[in-house]
Amino acid sequence: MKIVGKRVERIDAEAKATGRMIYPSDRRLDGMLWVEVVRSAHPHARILSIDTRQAEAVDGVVRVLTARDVPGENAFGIQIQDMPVLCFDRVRYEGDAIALIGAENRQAAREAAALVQVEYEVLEPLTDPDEAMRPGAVALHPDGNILHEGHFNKGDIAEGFARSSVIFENTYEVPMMDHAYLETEAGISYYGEDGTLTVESCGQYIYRDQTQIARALGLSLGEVRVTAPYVGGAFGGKDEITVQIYLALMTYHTRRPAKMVATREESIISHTKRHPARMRFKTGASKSGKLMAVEAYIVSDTGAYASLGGPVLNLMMEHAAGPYLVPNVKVDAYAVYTNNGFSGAFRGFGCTQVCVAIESQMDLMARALKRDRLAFRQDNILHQGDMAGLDYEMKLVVGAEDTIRAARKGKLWRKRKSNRKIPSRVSPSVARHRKRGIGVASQMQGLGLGVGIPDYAEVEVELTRDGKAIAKASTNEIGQGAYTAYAQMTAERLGIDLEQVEIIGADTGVTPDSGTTTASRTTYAVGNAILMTVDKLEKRLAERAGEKTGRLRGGVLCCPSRQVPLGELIDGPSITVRATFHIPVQDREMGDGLPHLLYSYGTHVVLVEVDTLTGEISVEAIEAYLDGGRVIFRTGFEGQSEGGIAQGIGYALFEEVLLNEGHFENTNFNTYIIPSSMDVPVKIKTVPVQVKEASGPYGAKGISETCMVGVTPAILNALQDAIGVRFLRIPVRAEDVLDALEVDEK
Amino acid sequence: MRIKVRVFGNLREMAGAAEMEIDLPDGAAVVDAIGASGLEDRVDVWVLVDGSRAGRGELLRDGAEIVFFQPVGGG
Repeated sequence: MKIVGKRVERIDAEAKATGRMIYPSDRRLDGMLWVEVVRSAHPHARILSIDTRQAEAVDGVVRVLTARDVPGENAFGIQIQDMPVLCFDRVRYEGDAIALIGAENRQAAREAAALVQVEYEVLEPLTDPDEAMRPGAVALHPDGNILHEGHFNKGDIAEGFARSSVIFENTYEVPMMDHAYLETEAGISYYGEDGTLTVESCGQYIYRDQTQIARALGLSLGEVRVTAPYVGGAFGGKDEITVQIYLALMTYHTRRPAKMVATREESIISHTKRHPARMRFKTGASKSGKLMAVEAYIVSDTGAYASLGGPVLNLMMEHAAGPYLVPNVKVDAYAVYTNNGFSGAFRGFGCTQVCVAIESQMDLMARALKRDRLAFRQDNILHQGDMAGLDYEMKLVVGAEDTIRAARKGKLWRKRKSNRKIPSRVSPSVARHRKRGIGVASQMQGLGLGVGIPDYAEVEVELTRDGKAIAKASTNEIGQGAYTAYAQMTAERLGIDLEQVEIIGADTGVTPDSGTTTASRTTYAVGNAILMTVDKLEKRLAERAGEKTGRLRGGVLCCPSRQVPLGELIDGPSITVRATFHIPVQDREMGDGLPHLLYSYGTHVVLVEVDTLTGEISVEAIEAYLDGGRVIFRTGFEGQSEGGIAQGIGYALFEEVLLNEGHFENTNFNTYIIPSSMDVPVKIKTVPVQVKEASGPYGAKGISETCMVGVTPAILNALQDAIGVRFLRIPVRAEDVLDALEVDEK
Repeated sequence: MRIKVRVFGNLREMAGAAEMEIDLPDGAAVVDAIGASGLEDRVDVWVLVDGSRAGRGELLRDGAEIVFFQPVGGG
């Protein structure tokens, strides 16, 4: 391969580094109004009245909108439209939108927003999902408080435990987590020259955003255009609608451009979160080290509205038994409405949560059986053809064992005895208070949307007479390096230089529907679609050349008997072709997106150091062994891994959205603590374990979520190794370490 | 002409089936297939014809496969 697999320069690097890249929050238009959202002061209340007169009187205010100004359906939501665009009778979380202000400047908009008088009947917030599930609890939605539930049984769970010589049962608590993307939700809307209502924003699926906007405004799809090519981070937090409908509404009513940029406080309060969950896991293994039983009872707090709470719960169930062969599995899971913000898509999408539990349990069982912790995992790992936890076949190649084998050869694990020693450069008076430990975790992550939901990518490739290519896809570049990977695959396939490829992304007026930028799917789906499109181009050009076959190489069609310059085959400046790739799915449908056919795999090895005087935890080194199939964009792959490591450290040790009776308490980065460069180890090694996936473009799959998911449980396992404490709740803070050590001492 | 119809997700309840075959007159378009499948024509009813997104006005051929679904997500 000349280009695929190489460390090329990102195609957007120069524009981003020099500031030429225009993000949604950078856009300005003459005559634009600033939009501010009036949000609920309470997590749960009835709205008795809304008085906008004082707000309307503020100098500079052009328009104030409430629910009666929503011309279409006053509702949105990816799966269930249970979230009002603008609330009029009830608010269900502190962040529910009630009114929109459009003003000549931001100051006036903010001043007016503070003057909207909302009379509430404050209601008791439901903040405990267990309470919310009880019969008689106040119903937050017409069908009650259980958004979704699932129950699976494989084998005989009682028999499984009866045959286990080690059994562990623990309840794990994982917090609500914020996506903490660098660019908050932002966008601009306007009427284009062709009369289409255009919204330039940050959503991770522009075609679905187009539908949600059209539905709310009572417009046809053709009357709405949405673009979002370059976005300053997302991680799933921009999958659900954020600012798009508000912007469109303001432009619809005023016929003027409108802009909105959420403050960090507003962002943390108002967008989806990672589902907090309480997970009771009971697992058993035989004396010979074979897993016998996994029983999981999961309650996921989905907050005020559905968003993707159902599918996230499905993935929790799907991944509860991990990448392991387990003969007896019982999973009962509930996604429950509360007044605690609202949760949705976030990197890992449910797998992140359950991996904390199952990988902690694996470590406990391995230790009790006095087994090597990686060997124990390897002895129970799934292979192609095995039945996964919820009793469906792993039909494609499974690289999980390959990642474990690679991890066992890595320096951190091989030299774990010496790695546990405090370095000699540390003075003895300090060293005696420090303890080091090594932890591991293995995991699998479903790629794509899973079965039951059409999952496709349509791509267009335009080939010019001089051999340049323009590939168009509607997925976004959210920082993951996707557009560079697309360019590499296009260039490799056409036999041209990377510089001869242009990627045009995310514009419903220009790019075909390539599906969501989520679920680790775009390299695989868009990549395959690009290859299909080039196949079609070659066929068409060969026909024009009067040949049976031809292969495009460097601006020439290479046929068996001759080479034909493109200039002889293309009338006009270029030829354009589209093709659609459908992600293959399981033939058994067990729920929305359940199960997957395609998975990526990973094993993380982590070295931590704990200061037993202060409780401070330092992640000293991490090795990530990641099977995402063939690597397309090597630097991007490593970047994803490093970012995933930072985010996994955040989940394990720092991050928790704190709510007090439904009120957000930490809404900026001075109180919602995310890892800084000081908290991420210098010693990071990312090893691609390239188990080629035959159905993938050049054998590629995806890695965007796997690179994060295993980090957190590996850290927890390293903490046990260091100080002998099993933490069941994250984030683990210094005070938790000190409390645990104090208990230990006693 | 005879068209194969597959329906996903919540739309199955509306259509009354996950899969069906419907007969349409020659020259029928996607919009005709929506009604004939028992579905309400809403902006959030998306259509694939023979695997690719199709607009309401796209003409159908005998033997085409239509998929109706709502743009929900997953992970």
